[in-house]
Amino acid sequence: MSNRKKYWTNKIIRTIITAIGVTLIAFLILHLTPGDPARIMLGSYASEENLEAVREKYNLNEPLYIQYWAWISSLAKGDLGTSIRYNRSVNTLIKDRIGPTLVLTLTGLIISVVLGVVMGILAALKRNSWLDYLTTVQAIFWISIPSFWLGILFLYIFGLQLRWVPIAGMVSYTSVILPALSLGLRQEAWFARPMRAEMLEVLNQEYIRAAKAKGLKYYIVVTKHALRNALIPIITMLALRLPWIIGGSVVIEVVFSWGGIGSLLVNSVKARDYPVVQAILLLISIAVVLANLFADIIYTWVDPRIRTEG
Amino acid sequence: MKKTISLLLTLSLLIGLMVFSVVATAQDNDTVHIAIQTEPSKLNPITYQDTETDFVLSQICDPLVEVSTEGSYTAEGAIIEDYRIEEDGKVYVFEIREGIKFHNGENLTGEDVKFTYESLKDKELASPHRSYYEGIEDIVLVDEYTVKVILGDTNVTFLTNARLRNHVLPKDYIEEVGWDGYEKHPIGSGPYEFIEQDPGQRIVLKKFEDFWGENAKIDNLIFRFYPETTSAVMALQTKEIDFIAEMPAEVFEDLKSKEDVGLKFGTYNKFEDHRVCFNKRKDSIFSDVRLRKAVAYAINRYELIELTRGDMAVPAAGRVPSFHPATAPKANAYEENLKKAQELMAEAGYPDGFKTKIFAPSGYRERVLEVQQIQQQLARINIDLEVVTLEWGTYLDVTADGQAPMFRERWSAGVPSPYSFVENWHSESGWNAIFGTYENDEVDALIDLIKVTTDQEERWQLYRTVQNLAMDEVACYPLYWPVIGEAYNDEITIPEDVWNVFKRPIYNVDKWHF
Repeated sequence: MSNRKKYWTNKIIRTIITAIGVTLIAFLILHLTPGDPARIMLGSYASEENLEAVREKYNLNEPLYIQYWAWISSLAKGDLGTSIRYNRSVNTLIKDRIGPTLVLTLTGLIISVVLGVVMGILAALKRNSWLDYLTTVQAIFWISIPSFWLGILFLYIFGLQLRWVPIAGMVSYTSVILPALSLGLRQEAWFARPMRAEMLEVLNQEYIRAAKAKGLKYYIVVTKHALRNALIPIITMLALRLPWIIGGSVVIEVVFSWGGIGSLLVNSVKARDYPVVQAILLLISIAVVLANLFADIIYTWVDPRIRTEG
Repeated sequence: MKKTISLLLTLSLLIGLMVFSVVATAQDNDTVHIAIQTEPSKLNPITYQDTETDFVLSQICDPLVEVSTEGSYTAEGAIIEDYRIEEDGKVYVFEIREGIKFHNGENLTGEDVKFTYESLKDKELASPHRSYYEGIEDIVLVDEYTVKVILGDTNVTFLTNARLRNHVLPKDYIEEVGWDGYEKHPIGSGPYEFIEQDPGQRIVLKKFEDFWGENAKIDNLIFRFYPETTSAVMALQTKEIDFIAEMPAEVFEDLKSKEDVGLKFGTYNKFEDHRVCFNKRKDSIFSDVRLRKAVAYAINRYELIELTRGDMAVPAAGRVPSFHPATAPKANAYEENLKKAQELMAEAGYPDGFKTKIFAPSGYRERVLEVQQIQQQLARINIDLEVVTLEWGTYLDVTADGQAPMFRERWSAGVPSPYSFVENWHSESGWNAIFGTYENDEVDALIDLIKVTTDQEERWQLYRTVQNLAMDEVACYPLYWPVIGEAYNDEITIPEDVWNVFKRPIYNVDKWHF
């Protein structure tokens, strides 16, 4: 087997094992957490007979391995199960809510990348100037503020005091601005710092000096020669930050009444709606696994040495 | 790279446009927006269990029997013209109004009432409300518009939970579309009809033009879901929403103290009490009544009220709230008396105090703050109280299992009967164990008697006696009866006669107007 083939077989087997591990963990975390979905559903005042009926209906009395097997087998058929709380197919629930989440996370991602890259470049070009320090300070600032607090702060300033945008919910085109900013600014810092470092390194390379010596205009040197090379690690970074953005969107969705996967997850955890929580955890994990795979692919494409060493 | 970025930008803009074009709405004076905390679970009157669903269904469906402003049963606003009780309270005969139409144009008849009762009793459907209907032995359709409900035993509290508050369902429609179909598009005979539900975002209702009573005054009613109260309150101040269902007391007090917020305020007393429960099982330290009394004498409930509710609560004595005739003002309220508390502890063999725990659900800020305060209050008599806060689901498990010596509870009674306030003290009640058990033969006998006493005054007296007895033994320690405050858009008028727990503003949106 060639090294290349071996590398990818390994990679794929590992991804599959990770995926199975993820389903198991998602399942166990929930079922081992105290709290009986039947009791939460019927309230503290429910009679034992009614509780039993609900447990019966959702197979909550079966041993864990049987419940797990039942879940995995229907999963294999693409069926995520039926929600206990909503009494609806989980596939439908997720399908209905994935749109808003995609809009939010994509916008947040774009904000973070664009701002991060611009900040990073500026900081590198004006190294040790006030601008450089400013980008450092703002990066620390955004990273330090918890996202729900940032969200509420934004709502208070731009929604309540200035009335520039609607407070919450998805009521107009401008609704996405605040949640996406709350999400994006926090991640921006993760791009700004590596971008700065990368740019500095590239700017010191021989070929940049050569380009400058050729008499090319400075901005062309920066955009055509330096930026192009400095951006490559950022693309990998992007793949690695994706899970954080998805995770962050859970909190942001709750603060901004954003009817997406995140608020569905929070509701479902509260209601111990096992099938929904499992399905969402699984989806998020798959996104993470895929993002990592994607990052690997880019690495190997950029740097062929990794293929044999990995 | 630039290309990629601009491509991504365009893409997200496009997706954004698609999503928002669906939900974009104009704010105007023919629509009222109500914020509810979570999305209703399923719009199914038989299987729902959350208050959010209740809020929505009460606009879509009509009750079989209504409750008046004073808390008595009435036909006014209900789908019955009249009802009578026969054979010592064992038979209820309902005369149904003719000419009531469901939202699909079909007539509402006795057949539908019978169907609704049968669905609630149905084992397969496994309604969480089923136990309320277990006493029904038979449902007879006397003629097209007369239904007779026959009970196995006399039960004067039957109607409280079995008056089909937002339940009367269209039989033919459900048989045609099935329960799943009904949940997707619920139909009733109420003042508002269901238009659509944007999952995770809102539910849209519209005035039903052929409503049998007085038509709703505001054309559209939109429920929006705000999981975060802070956001909902800000949206209320910008008038993006007009009303918040179940506004927390502290938020109400805070808004009220502000000037020029463009809001109106109203309050009413809730049919609810907050209390400290004791685990009284034999293996628990609080099986000793003297220690329960010591704790009761050491708690200062006025301090707790001051801390979490300000003006929004009435100090409790007994269980039934003070505005109701069944209240027991003479029940022992154990006003603070540290000396007595210490004497009782010494008598019980704990002159130097003891260690124990109090549990509260972590998601309820009020309750957590209050148990922390109780911790400080009990420290004064050398009770080393550990505060344990648990997530709701875990809390329910732990307290019902008898693992919590003390826990901070809340009971919301169905209106209008105060029966459920005392019922859990009956040794055979399903809730007896959940609230730490309580056994007293005299109390059992009195509660049984309440159920069959048809004379109202006599019944109220029985309630008082039960509460006095149980309070003498500190079956629990009542803290307060909450007052609900609602802040709402000042352009809206909510009529005076719905500001009470029997009507409630949220259940009567059809009577609001701009």
